Amino acid sequence: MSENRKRILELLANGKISVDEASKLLSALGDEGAPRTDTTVPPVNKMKYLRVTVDALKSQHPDGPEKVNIRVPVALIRAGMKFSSLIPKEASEQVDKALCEKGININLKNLKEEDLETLLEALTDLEVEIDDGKGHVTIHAE
Amino acid sequence: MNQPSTMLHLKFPGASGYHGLWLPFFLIYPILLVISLILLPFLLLAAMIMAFFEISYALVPLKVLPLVWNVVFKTRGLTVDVRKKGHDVLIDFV
Repeated sequence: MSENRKRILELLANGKISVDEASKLLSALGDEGAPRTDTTVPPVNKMKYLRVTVDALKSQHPDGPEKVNIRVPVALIRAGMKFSSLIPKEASEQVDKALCEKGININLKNLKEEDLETLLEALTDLEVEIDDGKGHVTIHAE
Repeated sequence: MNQPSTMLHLKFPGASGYHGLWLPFFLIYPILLVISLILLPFLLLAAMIMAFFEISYALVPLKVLPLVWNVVFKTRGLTVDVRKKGHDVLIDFV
């Protein structure tokens, strides 16, 4: 806080000036010495990796792995997404149909890079945890 | 720009304990370059033939190589760690 601002507040506290006068004086000072109200949000650390952890219950999967830990670079996901442009139109229609039959309503041709960016941005603040009694799956961004 | 992977770290169970291998992944780049150069004329020819017959995905063969390079260059940091009693496997692109 600046000296001028302090003096005005002292004068107000001592009753030498009224509230209106203090307000006028403070507004005349403008932003000088005002506490910083930085509204710009610091840039969110760009996520680099997507981590998928699977903890399987031994009782449910006696022969399977006990723990799987996969770290996928986001750059690799982005690069992999571009492979969808290689799928011919006829093939993508068949894939969409097959996915739809399985109950997954995803249109591969409509899946754009912006959608992936939105999804990845959402994952920076989100942690997905799935516990179905057979194991525990966690997906989070790093 | 991300640095491409230079080494591939593998850990797998063997007859006497675990084996750790550090493979020089950077050697794949010249090999891939040679393969790309060999494939390029064929891919160009395929694209031209498909364009001649007005096949809708005529440009697909030309997109393959850049996409493959892109994926190979961005493997750095990819880790797959599978733990199973006595059968741990680790694949790590460094």
